[in-house]
Amino acid sequence: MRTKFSGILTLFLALFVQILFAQQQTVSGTVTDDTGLPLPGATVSIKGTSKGITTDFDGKYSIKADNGQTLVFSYIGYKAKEVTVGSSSINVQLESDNTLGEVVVVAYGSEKRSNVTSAISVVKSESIEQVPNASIDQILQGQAAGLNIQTSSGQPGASGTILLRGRNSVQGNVEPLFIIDGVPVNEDNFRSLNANDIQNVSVLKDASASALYGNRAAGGVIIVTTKTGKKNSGTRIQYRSLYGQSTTIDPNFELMNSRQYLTYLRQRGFNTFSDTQINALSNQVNTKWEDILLRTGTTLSHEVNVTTGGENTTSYTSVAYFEQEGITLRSNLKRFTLRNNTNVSSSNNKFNLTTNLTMGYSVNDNPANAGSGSLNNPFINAYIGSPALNPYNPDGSLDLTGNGTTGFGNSPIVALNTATLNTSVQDELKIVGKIGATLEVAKNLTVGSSIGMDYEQINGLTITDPNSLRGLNNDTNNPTAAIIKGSHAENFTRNVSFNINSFVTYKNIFKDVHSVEVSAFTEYYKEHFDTYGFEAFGLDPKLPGVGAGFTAGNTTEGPNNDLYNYIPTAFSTTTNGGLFSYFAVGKYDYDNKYGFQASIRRDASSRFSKTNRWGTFWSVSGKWNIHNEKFMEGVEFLNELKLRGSYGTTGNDRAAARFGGFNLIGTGNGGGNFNGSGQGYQGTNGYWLSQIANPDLKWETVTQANIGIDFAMMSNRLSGSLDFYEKTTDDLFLNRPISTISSVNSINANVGQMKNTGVELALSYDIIRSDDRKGLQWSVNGNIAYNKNEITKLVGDGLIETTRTALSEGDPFGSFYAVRWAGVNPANGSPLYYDSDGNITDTYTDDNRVILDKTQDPKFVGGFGTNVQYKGFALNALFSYAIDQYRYNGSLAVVEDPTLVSISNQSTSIIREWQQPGDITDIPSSAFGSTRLLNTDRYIENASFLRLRNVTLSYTLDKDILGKTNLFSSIRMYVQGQNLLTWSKWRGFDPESNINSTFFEFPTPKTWTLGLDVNF
Amino acid sequence: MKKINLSILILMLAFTYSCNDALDILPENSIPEENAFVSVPDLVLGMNAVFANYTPEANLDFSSILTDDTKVGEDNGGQRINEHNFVVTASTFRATQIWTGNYALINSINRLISAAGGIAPQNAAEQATYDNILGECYALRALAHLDLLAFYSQDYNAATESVPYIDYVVILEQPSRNTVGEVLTGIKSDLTTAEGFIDASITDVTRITRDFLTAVRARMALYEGDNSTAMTLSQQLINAYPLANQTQYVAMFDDTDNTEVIFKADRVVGDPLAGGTWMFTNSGGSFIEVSNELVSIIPAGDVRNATIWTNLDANFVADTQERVNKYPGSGGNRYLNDIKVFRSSEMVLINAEAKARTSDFSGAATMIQTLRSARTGGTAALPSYANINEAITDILFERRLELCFEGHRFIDLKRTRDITGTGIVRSQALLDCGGTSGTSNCDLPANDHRFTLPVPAAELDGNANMTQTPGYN
Repeated sequence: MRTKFSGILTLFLALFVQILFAQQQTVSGTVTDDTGLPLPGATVSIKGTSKGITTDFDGKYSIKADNGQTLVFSYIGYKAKEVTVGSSSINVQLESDNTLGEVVVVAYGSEKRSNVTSAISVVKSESIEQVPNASIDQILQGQAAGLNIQTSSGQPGASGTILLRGRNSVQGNVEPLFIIDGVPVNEDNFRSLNANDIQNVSVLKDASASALYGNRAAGGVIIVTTKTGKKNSGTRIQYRSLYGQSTTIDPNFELMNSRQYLTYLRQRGFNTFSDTQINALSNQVNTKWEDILLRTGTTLSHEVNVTTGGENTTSYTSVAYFEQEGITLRSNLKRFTLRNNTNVSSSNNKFNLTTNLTMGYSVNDNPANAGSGSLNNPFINAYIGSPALNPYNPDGSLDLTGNGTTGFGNSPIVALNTATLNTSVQDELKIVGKIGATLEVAKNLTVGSSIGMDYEQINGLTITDPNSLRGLNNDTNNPTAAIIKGSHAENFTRNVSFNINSFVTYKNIFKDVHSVEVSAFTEYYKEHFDTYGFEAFGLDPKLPGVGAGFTAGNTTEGPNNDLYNYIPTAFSTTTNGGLFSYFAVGKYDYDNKYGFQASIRRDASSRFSKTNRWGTFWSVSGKWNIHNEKFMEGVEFLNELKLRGSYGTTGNDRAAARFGGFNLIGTGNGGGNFNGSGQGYQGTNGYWLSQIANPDLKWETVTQANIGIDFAMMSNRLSGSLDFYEKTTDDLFLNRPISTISSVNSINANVGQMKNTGVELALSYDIIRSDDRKGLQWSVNGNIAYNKNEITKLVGDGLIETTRTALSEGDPFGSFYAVRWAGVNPANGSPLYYDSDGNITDTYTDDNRVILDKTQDPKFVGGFGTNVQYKGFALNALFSYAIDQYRYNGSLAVVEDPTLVSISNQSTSIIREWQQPGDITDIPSSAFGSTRLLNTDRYIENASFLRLRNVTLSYTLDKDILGKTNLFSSIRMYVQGQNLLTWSKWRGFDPESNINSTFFEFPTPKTWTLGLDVNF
Repeated sequence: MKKINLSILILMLAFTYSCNDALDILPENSIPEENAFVSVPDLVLGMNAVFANYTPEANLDFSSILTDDTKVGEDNGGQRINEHNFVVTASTFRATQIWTGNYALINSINRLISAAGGIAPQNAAEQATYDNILGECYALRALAHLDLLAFYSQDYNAATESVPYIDYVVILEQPSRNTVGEVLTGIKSDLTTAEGFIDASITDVTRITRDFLTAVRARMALYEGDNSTAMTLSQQLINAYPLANQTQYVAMFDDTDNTEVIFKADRVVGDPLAGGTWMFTNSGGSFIEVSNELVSIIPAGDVRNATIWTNLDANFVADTQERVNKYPGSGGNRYLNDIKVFRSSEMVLINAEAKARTSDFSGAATMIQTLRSARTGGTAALPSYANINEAITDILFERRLELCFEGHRFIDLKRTRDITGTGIVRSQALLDCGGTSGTSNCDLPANDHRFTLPVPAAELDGNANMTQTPGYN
């Protein structure tokens, strides 16, 4: 056992290597990393002795050793390599190490993996880079056990909902805290950040890992660390490019074609065409609106990055342009990003200064009203558009007018017209920056401080063109009587947060085995939200997009010339918030066998009243490296076995009410709407009560227990970790009903309790290994997480209805609450239901609703993948999945609704409609009307899915081939597919979603890309 | 030593940023209550909001759509069908908004009265404003309670359970019901208090006047069966506010004549359009129309034919719809009208009914004749009533013609059903229901529990001391 672990021990010792004396013959050579670049500072030692040296700036070494002795080459983050001395020249290439020597980024620092006492998953840059998805969170889907990331928008750059180990709040924030280089950032907006800059992502899952961010970490923490140079590594330049195409995923249902639709309309009495007429009409026009409204989108990106490493300075700089078209008209994201990370240290390494700065500017062009019933929504029209309607003018161009109305009869045209003529664009400027410094003030004592900022500024522009259908019909916010058409709205939103952190750390090792580290921190966090904007009416079509085209607000119209139809509206709001914390953490490690960590923190939030603002959160954790025990020495197949345990609390202050402790009086005019809503009597200003205080509102607290093991066996071929956890949310934020005589229905309160229990397993296995870097290597990996949510305490009678789902004591969050559908009565074609006792009835009543064993959040999530490498070729595949998740299919229900047949195309399933007594079918007779809006489970469908999230085939030309050019050090070319295959029972475009009821959302596309990375 | 100094510097930096800067953050888009009301001008802003919280629109909505004054409109796409079909549950928004709207009004009043307690007027002008605000508060609190009492009590006998009478700021309290008698006592006390604050010189019919207080008292007296008070007070107002002639009558609904208006809720651009209760206001297409029966009973030559219904749409183009025309619009704003709450014609009808209820049938008949004469522009025939049932039936008929779509019909049917024995009856013969009318629900029997509105489900969720109206769950 010891010998198996000499590598690590050496590595451990390597930190304390002294200059040694050389003897015997001199062996020399170069140590390089896995990309063939020299590794300065690597340790070369002679096995079994205490002799060793470090490599120089060029990775070169020279050491005196006897023939037959074994040289051990090691470097932090790489697998140690042993070579028996046989010649005087030994060149060694080290492979990066995925398990043992790895350094893991933890809260406010980093730690060797073997010392980590808590549950952390790490995602490395290789699986993040050059993925054609503009939102970092979505790239992480399937890559870490316990992470459930789903989105219900395929708009480029759209962010999803991130759930880590289940959902631990109902009305409070559920997502993990996102930290980029020490700066907390908005977890709902990543579209202006470049994922290629990321070095690694640490997912902190248990209470111990997140205790240091305990005031915002109730949902876990995701720490993103961006790239930096290595000291003494010289300058490296890389150019990367990507080109791709996105298309829609084939929907899992079929709509009627022209002939079927016209025939069905006739059957229902909406037309009286003869067969011949239908034949002629359907031969003439058979429009698949999906093909008109959806399109193939292109993706293009270019990036140049420069990494430098001098003796005292390292840096990483990147400049990138990314452009992606969505799969529907108007959908587009263009982004320019810039990053510079610089580290400077004093020559004695006692002073370190780090700056991280990224700036991103993006232009996000949105399709109109996705996910809504508006006829502007291209996705609703892809379903309901009549196949018998001709989309083209006689000259072959698209018909943007139709019958000129904005009603159902003109439905697909309205969407085409809106997408073509109207505007909805958001420009965003995002800056995330940090400057931090540490100084070793005395032996073992370090102080440090950092200041960080997340700046997000969005300028929105919405124009209803005066000549668009919406404009001509005064369909937006225009006064209906206005003669001059069109409207123009702009809004500005700025969201800026600062955090300042200072610490003092004492770190020492006593008697070689007692490693102690104690730190104390203070942290200040402040956020400022500002938003303002205006909307003007009556646009001059010759002056689009500028104020010169607006109609003056004092213009009058009407029979008495006293109607003011063009008064612009304006609004402005501002909101601030803050947190102040002080906390301490202590770590102790004995001989790399036993480790303990404890933390305690006090946090105050501006959201709560003065008496309740402070919360105390704490954690304890421990680890036992069993493989380092004497009794394990004989166990050869086991390389690592670590037992971990943690227990602790974290807090959540992000409830619905920002100022829950105040009785608030407002002016009722939503930040200044001159056209009236909320106005006082006789058009005056007024003071209204806008919030009733709950002075008792306080922190929502999550208490988590975690026990886990990390293991590696069979020469580290098989490694993995297994975790069990139980999380309890106490003082759950929920609205507590109060008497309506108070003028409100409810107040924000801490009433309730929720529990999440789960198991996570992550495994990786090297099926084929090769010592030769160009040999065949094949590995597989996978992760699975099971989470069970239960609402253990609610207010009132234990049931709170939430549209189609309900919060119910003893049941999971998002449990569907519906009358069970019992099919169709063969005798008369009527819909049948189960009553609450399970008897079949043909009468629908809400009273028969029951809590179903179907929930919106999946019970299992995870991913699995494989990597194959041979010579320059590499194949990587990643599958992601979610099992046992359900969703109400409001989209399909529309095309199976017999009362909508005159305004909406229908699913081909309608052909199975009950016709005569004895028919056994799943589609009731249309004579019984619509069941769509009833609270039944007819359309609550299984949305579990398995998806080929990413597959990449690449070929790398390395130095061996390119060496002669003296220009390139390596070139990588690859072809990549995203979401190429999806398996799901869900009847729709996309089973993935973060909502429990769908209504024509923007589906996730599948994307093919070609890429090129050139290293100079 | 240098290093130590530097470290101290950095440590000091760590603590110099004040934690209070991050924590003592006040809301900027709203005002903490203690800062909101500190002077008389603040109270004026509070009163502007209180008065805006008074929404008689809820009454005229419910009282028309649920009754025999309406039928399903030609442009109905499902709008208001449930209430029209008498589907009323504890979650029916239109039934519960009368409760929540009036209690929100009462709450805002009690908050303002409480805030006023801590404010001293600075001069005589402020004192006058201050007093008037308090007067308006008490007056509206009385009217709000009267509306609640009318809709949520099973009858108006003193011992019957009614709604909570609230004269304090409810926050987390859970008030229980009071009896009709207790609520009426509270209302009367509020009216008396208001009278002490409202200056007799105020005559603006869009604000609270002494006559407003009298009108509330008269209506209340009729409800509670205090017929002599009803007669006295209504007569007082009839004397002060003559009935409009035919021209004035039409002008009244265009908001250009106030001859017989005692109080109306002022509505200006930006306020809800009353006509939107029954119509799509951009087109004038009706989802609920005037019932065929109501149109059919309008006597020939009666000016009310023009104010009750019209076949002209939003752009004054004739079609086949019988659309509500009590809120045709004003000042060029289609369907924007003041809500007439008290008119002298109601006082005539109160006077007639009080007389009939005290068996003065000829006195009652004379009152009805006066009103009919004014509306037809001639001298109407003097009706004659042999008994209370005949008198009340004829008075109801006249109330329907005179006050339709002004929020009375439902309460009128409710409070007279013990005499007439009739509930809501829609005409099948005239196709207001049945056949192709769009509804098959014709009748609400006189003893139906839905004549009393349900307490909102939300109230029962948050108030353990509240009981549901019998008949609902």
